[in-house]
Order: sequence, then C-alpha cells, then structure tokens
Amino acid sequence: MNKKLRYCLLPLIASTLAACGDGGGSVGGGQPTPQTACAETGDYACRTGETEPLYTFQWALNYAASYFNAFPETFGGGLDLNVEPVHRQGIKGQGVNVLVLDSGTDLRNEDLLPNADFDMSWNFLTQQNDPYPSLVKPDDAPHGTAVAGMIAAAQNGKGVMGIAPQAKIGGANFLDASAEVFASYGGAPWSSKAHVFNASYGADRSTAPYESDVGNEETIAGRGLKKLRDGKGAVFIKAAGNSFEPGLCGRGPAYFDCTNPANDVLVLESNIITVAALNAQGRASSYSSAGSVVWVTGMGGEFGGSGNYGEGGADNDGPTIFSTDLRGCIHGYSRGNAGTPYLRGQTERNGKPDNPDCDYAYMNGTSAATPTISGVAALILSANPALTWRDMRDILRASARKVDADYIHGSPYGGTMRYGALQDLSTNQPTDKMGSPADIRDGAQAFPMDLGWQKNAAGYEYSNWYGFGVPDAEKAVALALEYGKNPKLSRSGDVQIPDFSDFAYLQRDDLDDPDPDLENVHVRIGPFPYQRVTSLGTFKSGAQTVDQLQVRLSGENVCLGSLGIAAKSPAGTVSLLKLPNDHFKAYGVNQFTDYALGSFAFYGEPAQGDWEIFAIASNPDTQIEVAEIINNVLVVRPSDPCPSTDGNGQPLNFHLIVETRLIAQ
Amino acid sequence: MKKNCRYLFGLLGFSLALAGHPAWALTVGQKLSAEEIAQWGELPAYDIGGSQIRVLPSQQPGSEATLLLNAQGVVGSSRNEVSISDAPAERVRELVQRTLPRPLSVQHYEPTGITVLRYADFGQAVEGLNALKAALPGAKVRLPVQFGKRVPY
Repeated sequence: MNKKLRYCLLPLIASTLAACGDGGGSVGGGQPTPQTACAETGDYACRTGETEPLYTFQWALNYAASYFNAFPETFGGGLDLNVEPVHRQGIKGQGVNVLVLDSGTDLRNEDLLPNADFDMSWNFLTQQNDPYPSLVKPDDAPHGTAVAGMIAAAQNGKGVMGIAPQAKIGGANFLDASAEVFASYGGAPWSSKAHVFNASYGADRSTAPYESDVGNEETIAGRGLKKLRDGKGAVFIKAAGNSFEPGLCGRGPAYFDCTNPANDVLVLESNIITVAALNAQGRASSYSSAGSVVWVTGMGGEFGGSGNYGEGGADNDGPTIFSTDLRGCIHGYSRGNAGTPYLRGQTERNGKPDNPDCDYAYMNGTSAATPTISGVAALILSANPALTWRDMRDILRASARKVDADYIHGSPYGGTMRYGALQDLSTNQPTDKMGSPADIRDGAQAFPMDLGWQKNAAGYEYSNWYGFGVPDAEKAVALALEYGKNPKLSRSGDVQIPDFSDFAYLQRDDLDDPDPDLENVHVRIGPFPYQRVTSLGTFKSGAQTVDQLQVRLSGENVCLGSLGIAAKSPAGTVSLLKLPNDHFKAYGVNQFTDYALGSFAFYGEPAQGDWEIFAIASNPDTQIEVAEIINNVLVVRPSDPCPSTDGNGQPLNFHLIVETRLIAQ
Repeated sequence: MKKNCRYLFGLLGFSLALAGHPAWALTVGQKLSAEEIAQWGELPAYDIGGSQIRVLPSQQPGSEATLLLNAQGVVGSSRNEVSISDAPAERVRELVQRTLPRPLSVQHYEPTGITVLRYADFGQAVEGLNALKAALPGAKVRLPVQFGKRVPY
C-alpha cells in the first residue's frame, strides 16, 4: 500500500470504527467498548437499534436514551443489558436458531417475517408449520408473538428491534399441547433445529413428584436437551414465575414469593436457566418470583397500566417491554379496547403514528424477562457457536451485575416491614427486626424472610431474588470470544447427578422395630417441631465442586405450607430453599411425595465437609384470608385447615422423610 | 402477560365460594375435596414408586388421556405412556417385542434419545413401567403424569 492511499483511507477507517466501536454501554455497567472492525455488511451494519422507530421505548437495549427518562416517577436508577456495544461489533445473532415454545407466534408480522424459520416451527392444532396462535384465549394468544419479537425482531427500519435481530426465530403453540413435551423439547425434526429454547411459561402450584417413577415428563425431556447441538446441548431459558404478590399467601402486602419457582420441577435441572425480572427502576419487578433456583435476571418491567406508553406512575406502576404483536387491531395486546393510547394505536410522535396497524405492543412478566436473556444467549452463541450449555450458564453468571444491592432493607408497596426482616414462627407475622443467616439455627423462633445478596465461598454473589444478577451482553460476548481463543475454558462434560440419599426421618411415635433403612439417617421422634427452626442434622460430602444442592421431601400429616427448608454449606453459606407460609397453606396440603427443592447459592463452592439442613416450621393453626382468581372471578376464602393436633388436642402422628443430594460440577 | 392483580382486587367484588365440580369440568391441577372424591365411590388405585394414584372414570369417550388423582386429591392427566431414556432405542424395541403388555405404539425421538411407549390404558402403562424398569436397570423409565397446567408467565 503506498503512502498516498493510506492517507486517503484514514477518514473512511475512522468513520467505520466510530460507527462500530463507540463506548456507549449501559448505565451502571460495562467498560468502554474496544474499537473493533465491523463484522457485518448491509444497510444496518454495526448500527444499533436507533434505526428502528420504536427503539426509544426499548429501555432494556438502551436505557440512557430511552423516552421514559422524561418520567422520573417510574424510570431512573435502572440499567440495560448493554447490548449496543455488541451490535456495534456486528454481532446480532447470526447463525443462531431460537425456538419460542409458547401460545403460538404470528411469524408473518413484518418485524418477524425476515427472521422466521417455518421449518423450526409447528402448530399442534393444525399439524402445519405456521404457528399462528389459537384465538380462543384472547389474553394468551399474543403472548408468543411478543416473546419472539423481544428476541429476534428484525432490524429493518420498522417497529422494534430484537436483542438478536439476525437470529432465526421459530415458534410452536406448545401451551395448546402440553403433552407434546418430547416432540417440543428437541425430539422432533423441527424442534431439534433449535440452539436456544425460550420457555416463558410454567406450572408452579403443585407438588409434582421429582425423580419418581410417576411424575413430570419434563425431567427426562429436559435432560434430553443436552444431546442437541451435536452434544454441546441446547440452551433452555425458562421464566421463574410471577407469584411475588398478595393473594394465595394472604391479602396483605407480599414480603416474599408465594409459590416457589422450584415447584416447576423442570427448573431443578442444571441445564435449565431460570430467569427473574427487573423493572425500569433497577429493582425486582413487583411480581417476579424469587427462589434459590433463579440463575439470572432479565428485563420484565412493571405493568404499563397507564400513561400513553405505560409510563404512568399510578399504583407504583411503570413501563414494560416493547415488542411485536399479532397483526391488526382486532386481536393481540394492541387492539381497539386496550388500556393505553399506544396499545389502541392512537399515539403519534413528530406527526407520525407509532402503531397505526396495532402490529406492536408491550408485555411484562418473567415472560418478558426470559426472552431478553434468550436474546443475549443468541448473541453469545453467535460470537462462539462452539460453546456448550455449561459454558453458556457460566458466561451468563460471570457477566452478571449485582443490582439493587440493599433490597432486603426495602419494603413492599403498602407494607411497613422490611423484606429481610424476621418473621415470627408462632404468629406468622413479619417483625421490625432484621434477620441474617445467623438466625437460621436450631431453636430459633423467627426466621429471616430473605438473606439478600450473599457472597459464597467461590466468591460468587447470589440472591434468591436476582440469582447471580443481570447479564452484561458486552462482557458475555467478550467471554464467549475468549472461550473461542482458549478452548480449555470450555466444559463439555455433564454435571454429576447422584441418586437422592435418605437424610432424616421424623415421626411422633417411637419406631416399632429397629429399621435397618434408618441406620444412617437422622431420626427424630416426637411431635412435629412447629413454631421453631430445627436442625435436622448434617451430612458429609466428598471432594467435589458444587453445582446444586437438592432436598426432597415426602410426608404425611405434615403441613407443607408451614414448612420451610434451609441449608448451610461446609463453608458457612446459608440458603433458603423454601419459606414457610407459602401457597401450600392456602390449600392445607399435608401429604406429599418426592417434592423437591434446589439451590444454586452454593455454586462453585468446595463440597467437602458437613452440610446442615434445617426445618423452618411456622404455626399451622393460624388461618389466612386467601384471594385467588378462578374463571376470572376473584374468590376470597379462609385458607384450608391443616391442624397440628387431633380432636383431643394431642399432636397428630405424622412422618417426614428428608432426602438430599449434591449435584457436582 | 402478567396481569396486575392489585387492579383486579380493587375492581372486582369479593364474592363466590368454590362451587362443586361436576365431573365433566375436571381440569389438570384442580384440587378436589374428600366429599367430591367420595362421589365416585371406590376408585382403582395404584402404588407407583410410593405415589398413591387413583384412576378417575373416563370423562370424555375416546379421549387419549386418563384423568388421575394423587394422594392430595389433585387431578392429573396421563396419556398412558411410559418414557425411557439412557437406553439404546434398539434395545428398547427388542425388549418391547418380548415384554407384556405390548404397547399400542413406540415412538423414538432420535435427537434426544428418548423412547415413548403408549399403552391401551393406564393399568397397562403401570404394568409396562414395572416390566421395563426391571428389564432396563440402568435406564430412566418413567410414567409421565401432569399434575399442573402450564400457563404463560
């Protein structure tokens, strides 16, 4: 190259680098992006979503420049997923297939059609490959279309932009054919094409047996996902649930999640990435289910119930996540009788209508948070297609940012106590005294409702509300590229899943005969230890590294809604796996078999040493007022009784079997 | 989509008690009271790996699903299937040929290595489960039952 030509190219190179490598980044996250060459071609090469007319509402992609900044009552102090530096590198999900298992998807929406893959789609009702949803349930029908747009709405100068706008997107109306698990979870030709599965659904109300002869088919189907992608495993992203709300746990303010995400046994599988939701103020979405199986947090927003675009501040509300919708103003979240002007297609900016054909909408929920993480996963795989499912999980964790650091000192909307306060185990009421892990001890008469962020012995900070935090796409993609340069970082083997081992046995009356099966089990005879914390004993583990701790319970005449479980690792980390006074109290559940719980709070810790398991048992004899919606009607009733004594006031006989296992890395 | 129940609580009246459940209205995940269950009289019962499962009378003639009750009175649904993983498909096919009862169909999901056998009724599925568990000690053999209905979050 001669000197003259080099000088001539300088302005062109400079402008290209400026377009591709701007520092940008998220509020509160990420270092300036190193300037790299653009890997993309075409009109939108290395450009962010600023090319899309509704991008200003997509605060999960660019928080700093969002329209909602003008509404400090509901917006501020939050962050985005830091995807723009990745988009500026031209990494936009190319080569990655994402399958949305949901209510069905309108793949012919103008913003989805460019990325639609009908060969990766299925309609269980028509037995065709167009997954347009059934309209029988109008509130559910648009769900999968909104999910799909958050992941892979095209960058085409129209509407919104997905987090991975060049990923291929497929859909299936799995929620209309829930029995089709094995076909949907990678077993059929169409589903086996998927690299990333998005599951913005769940079932968290029952005590489904886990690892039992009879039980949920998702355990086997979930493990089968590891065979996909030529053995590297598909990435399966799953919503945590929306149960952090008053209702089934009483009508007062909610201090803790009412149903445990682990009740959906699929999330107990280590290859399932469970996602909680964050709102636009950088705090947990008010509904977002919390529990020790949450892996990371995505963006779900609040309810968007008022204002032109959902920005209204009434009732502690705020904006949600913008996306695609069923086409037209008859069906979908955007329709003539919707709640806000935008959703009715009535808003305009600069003289141009925003949503004249009602092809776009917004949606909240961990349903919305999940596809934001699926989109990030698609960017990561696009940067390095050789990653395994374990690599993906590690990269999401390693890139995640701690948010809402002091949340346990906050209070719920309408509440006066703090989230991390102690709850009295005899009155079942929160107190004004803060709790800590040290309160989980034998004989304690109160327990902390949440422990907040805790650093475990591996150096990882974890919270039941947020998992390991909110992923940073720029950092995650950088890690993916680093794995590419150094394949030794990758982990291709499976985690080690042993059988459950008997750990503790409790019953009221003496054992009739010595039971050889109980020789190595902690046996406790006497009335069930309600209204206190009880150490159930310890078990030893070998020289391994922890992936997940699981505890499995079977009981009769034990009030499951009054029973919590906590665990302490050899390193001293404490995790709350289940809280007492959850929704099982509403139904008086007192009989359960192989009901399982899990915790990722110990991830990466050395397993060797003594693990201690605690029962946190509240007072089953208090009743609460339960509110639940049945057939769109609000029903208020007293909780079903679950007495601790018989008609003569004597403690009921009962039995409780506690099993444990450590899944190792 | 997550609905704001705070609004619903404000707008809707506090009314209605849980009504009785006519047999034709049973849904997966629904919890029945002892009185409601008693209306059926004695139901066929199975102990499957420690889980007590009762079979409800057929609700819809010709339905592929069998409705069940667990020990807590929660309604579940089975397609009278047994699923097998961690076993080679050929080995399962060969075994099915010489194991009773014979399934109505065998479907192998090649990409995920899972085989699903469908039986004529729930009782046969339980028999098939027990026979295959004994014949395939290293495999995961399960009788899938849905006790909760998946809903959009």
